[in-house]
Amino acid sequence: MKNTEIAMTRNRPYWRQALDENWRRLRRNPTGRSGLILLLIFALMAASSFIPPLISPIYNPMHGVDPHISHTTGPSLRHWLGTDFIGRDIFSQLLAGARVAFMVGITAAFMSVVLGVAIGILAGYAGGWADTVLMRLADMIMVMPTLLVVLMAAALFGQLSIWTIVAMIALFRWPGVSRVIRARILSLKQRPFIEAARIAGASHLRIMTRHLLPNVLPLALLYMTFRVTSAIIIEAALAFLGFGDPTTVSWGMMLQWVWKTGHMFQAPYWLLPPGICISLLTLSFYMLARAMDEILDPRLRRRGES
Amino acid sequence: METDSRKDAIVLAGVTRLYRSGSRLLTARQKTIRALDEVDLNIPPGCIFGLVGESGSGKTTAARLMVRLEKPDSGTVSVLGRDMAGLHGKHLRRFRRKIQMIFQDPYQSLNPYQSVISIVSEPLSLRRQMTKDQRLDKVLETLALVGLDPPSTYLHRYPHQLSGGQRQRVAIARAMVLDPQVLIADEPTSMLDASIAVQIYRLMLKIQHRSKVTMVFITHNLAAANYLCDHIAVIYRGRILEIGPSGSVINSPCHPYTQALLDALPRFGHIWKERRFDTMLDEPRSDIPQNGCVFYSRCSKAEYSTCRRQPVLKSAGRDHKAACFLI
Ligand SMILES: Nc1ncnc2c1ncn2[C@@H]1O[C@H](COP(=O)(O)OP(=O)(O)OP(=O)(O)O)[C@@H](O)[C@H]1O
Ligand SMILES: [Mg+2]
Repeated sequence: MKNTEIAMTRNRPYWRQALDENWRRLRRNPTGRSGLILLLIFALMAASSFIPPLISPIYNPMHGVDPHISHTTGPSLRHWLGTDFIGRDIFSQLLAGARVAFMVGITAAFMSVVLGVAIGILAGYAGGWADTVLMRLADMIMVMPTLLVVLMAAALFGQLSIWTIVAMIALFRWPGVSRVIRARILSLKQRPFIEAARIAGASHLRIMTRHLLPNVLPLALLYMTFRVTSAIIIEAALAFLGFGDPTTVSWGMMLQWVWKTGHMFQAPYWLLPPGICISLLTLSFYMLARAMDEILDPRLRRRGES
Repeated sequence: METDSRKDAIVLAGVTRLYRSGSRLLTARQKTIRALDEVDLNIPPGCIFGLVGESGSGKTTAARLMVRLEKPDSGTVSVLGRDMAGLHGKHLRRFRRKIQMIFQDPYQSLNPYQSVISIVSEPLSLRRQMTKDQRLDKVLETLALVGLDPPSTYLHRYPHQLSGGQRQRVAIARAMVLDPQVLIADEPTSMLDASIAVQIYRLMLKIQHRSKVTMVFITHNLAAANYLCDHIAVIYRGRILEIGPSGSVINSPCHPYTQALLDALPRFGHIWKERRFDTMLDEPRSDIPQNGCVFYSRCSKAEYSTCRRQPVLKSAGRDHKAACFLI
């Protein structure tokens, strides 16, 4: 049938076009470009973290102990960044730490943003008492210091697994997102195209998912990028204070081992790499988010793109 | 207009809509705006009914009440014989398909993330009984009807890839795709330039001619209302001041406000070229009576003693009524 053919020859959906356009602008933005390059380096580190254990079991970041070394040593050809207090390879730990940081940062940020967007849309669109209840809840959670709460939970329930930590970060970091999304929804829902959808007979669920959600998605992506930074910092702090998951090698964990074994000032080759990595990775996500913020700023955008 | 009100497509009976501004906590006294004040309106089926008034007179408010985006503070709004206040949820959604609306600003009334095909087919997709092919046929047919020709070239465009006039045509297509019985057009051309506006007027005449839809055409321009409408109601500060068949309202306006609106029209080439009424004061009066005629402050004909009461609509000819003490 001819008409069906017409319907098939679609050009790319608008969100794809917008995404491509913004991606191009992001790469042209100096802050965004530096952030992306840094991020790419860390992504490569994370991706190659499985290689050292394949070369030799002594490079296993957690269990691989060099049989000839039983104390910390400086950089050498055999161990590029040296070894830790029981002879594990610091470089392979650093690579594994990158993987953990990405995992923790991105999942926690994704979960908190999904929660925040869902609650923000619901509160903003429903209004009335639902809005009041949800936003009071958000306020209450927002004033709780996440780190402290997770620390108390760790003290109460013993060692937390990495996924419990991720879930807790997500649970405590959605309110900021939902506030911003709600504010955007409040202005969007007055726009005639939402009222037009209502007049066309769209249900509330349809309006929220088909009309409101696409319009807040760029904002959600921006907040997700900011959230990655804070999730990585929280996990690192937690691990450094000794409440991390002892079965995973994260950069915070490495710092905790330096501290616990009293090498804070004796082994810079061991202390500096994880410290620098944490700073640079959070910095790269932060730069990316700043650049996105600039790109998504409505004042700089063309009319009708909104 | 003195028809059986049960047959009328839209009936407003004593409709008042108040807007409260200012927070109840911060200011002791709230300011209330009477966007509509005790409005009675009967709109017969199958005609184009013009609602004319200046900015802020309550036109959009009336439109929003008719499609039940809002509820009146008092009075009833019935459309096609149903009291709109009694409809909720699913029933409201189903009933709404018969009453569609075109919004003032085509740059705001289309979702920037939806393509033309998804905008126009959305009202249809909520109807389960149509197959995909039937829906597509209907969308193409409607796009052709609103003059987006050939329709297939517009299907996959997004609002930002269309001109203002094309956007408004898409909005009209979205409203017409369900074959509604009532179409409310809220200043559909106020954001468009004059030549495009004329095209849209022609399109609306064509649509009305074909589908016999009851059309409420809202405008601030009496000439446009004269061109399009069978009946005209003139509204000012939430009150209907004059109502009647458009020929009689335009050719023998009774209310000083209608006369002032005619004075304000551009002069060139109109039949009422030589006439001037000079009913509008340049400087508004300051001695405004409480609950008096709403036009008193700007009316050159008014006298304080008579106009401090509220005038009611009085007959001024066949089907023609005006709310003024001078008639
Ligand atoms: N949501 C609202 N809150 C408070 N006041 C409102 C609201 N909507 C409208 N009003 C007021 O009600 C009055 C009528 O507004 P309405 O939008 O109906 O005017 P209009 O005739 O459509 O004007 P325009 O030609 O500018 O569109 C105005 O005085 C306006 O300020
Ligand atoms: Mg209006």
